[in-house]
Amino acid sequence: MSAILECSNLSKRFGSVNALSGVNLTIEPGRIVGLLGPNGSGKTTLIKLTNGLLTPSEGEIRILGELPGKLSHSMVSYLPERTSIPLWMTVDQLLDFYSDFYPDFDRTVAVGMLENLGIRGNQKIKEQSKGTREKVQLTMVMSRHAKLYLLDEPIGGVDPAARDYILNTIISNYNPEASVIISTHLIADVEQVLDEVVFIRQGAILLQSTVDEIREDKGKSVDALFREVFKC
Amino acid sequence: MLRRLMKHEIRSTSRIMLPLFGVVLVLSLFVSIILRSGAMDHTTNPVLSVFYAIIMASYGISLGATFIVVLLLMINRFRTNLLGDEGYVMFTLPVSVHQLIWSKILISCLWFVGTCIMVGLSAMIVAFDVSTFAQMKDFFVDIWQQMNAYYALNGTAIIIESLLLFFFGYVACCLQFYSAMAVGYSFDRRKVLYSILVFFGFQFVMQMLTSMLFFTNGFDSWFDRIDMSVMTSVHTFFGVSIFGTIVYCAIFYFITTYFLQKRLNIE
Repeated sequence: MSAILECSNLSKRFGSVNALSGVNLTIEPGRIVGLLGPNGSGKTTLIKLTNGLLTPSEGEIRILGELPGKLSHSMVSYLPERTSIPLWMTVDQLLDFYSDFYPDFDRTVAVGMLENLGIRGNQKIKEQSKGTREKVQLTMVMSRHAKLYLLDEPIGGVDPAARDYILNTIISNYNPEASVIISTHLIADVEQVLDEVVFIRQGAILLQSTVDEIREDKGKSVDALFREVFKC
Repeated sequence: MLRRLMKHEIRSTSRIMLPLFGVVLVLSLFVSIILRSGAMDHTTNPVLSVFYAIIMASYGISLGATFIVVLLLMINRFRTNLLGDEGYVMFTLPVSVHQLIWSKILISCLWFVGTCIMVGLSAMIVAFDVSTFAQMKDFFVDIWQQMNAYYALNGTAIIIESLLLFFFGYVACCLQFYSAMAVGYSFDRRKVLYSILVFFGFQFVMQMLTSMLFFTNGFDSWFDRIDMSVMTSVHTFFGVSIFGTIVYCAIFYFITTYFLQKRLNIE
């Protein structure tokens, strides 16, 4: 089966700053991958490039063989690092919105998740708390049967109970033929769900390895290795 | 997908436009009742006089405000929906940048036309006198006949040309704002300030180019050398204006799409 995500010599510069330099990365299907690195390491830039929100300075990025664009957007389910769902909508209108644009959106699953969370369909999103908005947005993203889920800091800024909910949602909703990329610097919280990790620093890939390899070969947890590699 | 984008665009904008239309209609009714009853002239109560004056002023303001709101809404929807946080959702939909832009333009045009109709409807409510409309109709028919009789103008063609010029003129207005924001928001900081500066920069350049084209001796003499009837010169005027406006649209459309595709910089 072809790679879900393939970056070839991918670079992105902002003026004189190299946000990403010469990244070569391949993500196979059926993996939950942690894109791990400190703040400003290039995680969000890589995710934005994958979504076509930025254009590469050099190299290319392909999602199931496609360059970022209309077709790749139909295969990628993206959770941005900030709440970006339209606040003026009610939850029901948001469900209509996702149903209209994504044929792979499973409304029944989404409604079920929202009911479990006690979120009313007629409630306006702007009337919800920040945490509830994040849960609504995650519900929409994870209710799609996408090929690639890109989750940018899904657990940053939420309480521990919400973190558990988010991680459970990711594990229970994801399709085994798809891949999930979770960008975060909160390693200890996500380590339990990861199959593979990619360490990124100053726009370059330092390490790509399975979690089992790290535990067996290095005799360390991912969190311990991260702390060692990124020691200040 | 364009239809779906337009559906959600209408959902968003109708939250503001429909209540505004409602306010205009209610004020029109009030004004109509006040005018027809002659209450304003006959009242001796100072409080009522002030109330009637406020209603009349509010009505006038609401008519003008509706057009201003259409313009502000057109600008604000582009800014918040595409260049603000919502841009993360909109630019990752399986739609093209062209569809995103057209959905905004077409719905803004729709509200502009809707506002024109609403103002006409409001005028009818305020007048509420069939004879007034009959007189107005006679007036326009008379002008029409005079124009046809004296200048042999093709009325249907002129209506179509006027509507096309009106449509492309409004599209050009939208695209000038969109392109200025697309450029301004590609900067890392002071996005609004840059958008304003770019807008006025575009305005300056376009005015310079238009002046150079239409008011140079070369163009004048070219125009003078052509021997045209009145009808031909009117159609030529519309044709040149429509063509110029389409060129204007195309330039701003290119700038907008280029910056949204290649220089998008959502925070």
